[in-house]
Amino acid sequence: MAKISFAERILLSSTFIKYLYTLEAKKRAEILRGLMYVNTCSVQHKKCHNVILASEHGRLEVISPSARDYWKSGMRTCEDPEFIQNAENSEVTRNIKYAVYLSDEKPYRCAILIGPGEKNKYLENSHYKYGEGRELKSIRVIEGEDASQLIISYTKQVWDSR
Amino acid sequence: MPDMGGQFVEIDLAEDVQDLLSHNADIQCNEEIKKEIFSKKPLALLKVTKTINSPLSIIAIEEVTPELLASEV
Repeated sequence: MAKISFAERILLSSTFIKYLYTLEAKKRAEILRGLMYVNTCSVQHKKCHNVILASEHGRLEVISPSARDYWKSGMRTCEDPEFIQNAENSEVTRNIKYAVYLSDEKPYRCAILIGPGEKNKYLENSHYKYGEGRELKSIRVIEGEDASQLIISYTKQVWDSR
Repeated sequence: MPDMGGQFVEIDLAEDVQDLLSHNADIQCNEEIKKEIFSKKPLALLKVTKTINSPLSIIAIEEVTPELLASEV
């Protein structure tokens, strides 16, 4: 059985998925296929290693009805928990707080995948950068092509396990 | 006629579907589909259509190839 302990949990954002829809279909399919492999092979969070908040999923009008089953396999949609529903009306804050929540369980680290040009919004957010020069160590914010490469490297781990 | 409601689709590794067929004593799947499932490589991704009446049935499978995925998403 291909069962892998991936280094980080994956939190997807709507901006990352919208970014994938700016790429060629072949590349988009490669990343989605990678997400499917991560989800099906995760030893700690089988079928829910990759997650997206329902509030983010609601912004994904780019996903056609015929593609929904495939995306559903690549990421689990989680209802926004109460502790972020009434937070500031900011998807950045919601994603950071949810990533912190995910880091409470193995593998205790989470990568937030976002679209290009979004990174500073996360790094400057007061929930990411807290106190005097301190920032979250268990959360990585990865944008655009770098985020795609993370998924490709995780997929390679699956194939290398054989 | 069995009630064919409760149909749903999941995408799983072939090895997981093979495992399900080998260990769930109730699951229903016709011989042709079963043969096809066991002919797949372990890491093949399969789109599996099931019905969740009692018992669970596998009614169709399709391999999710890179080409299929690129055409669908």
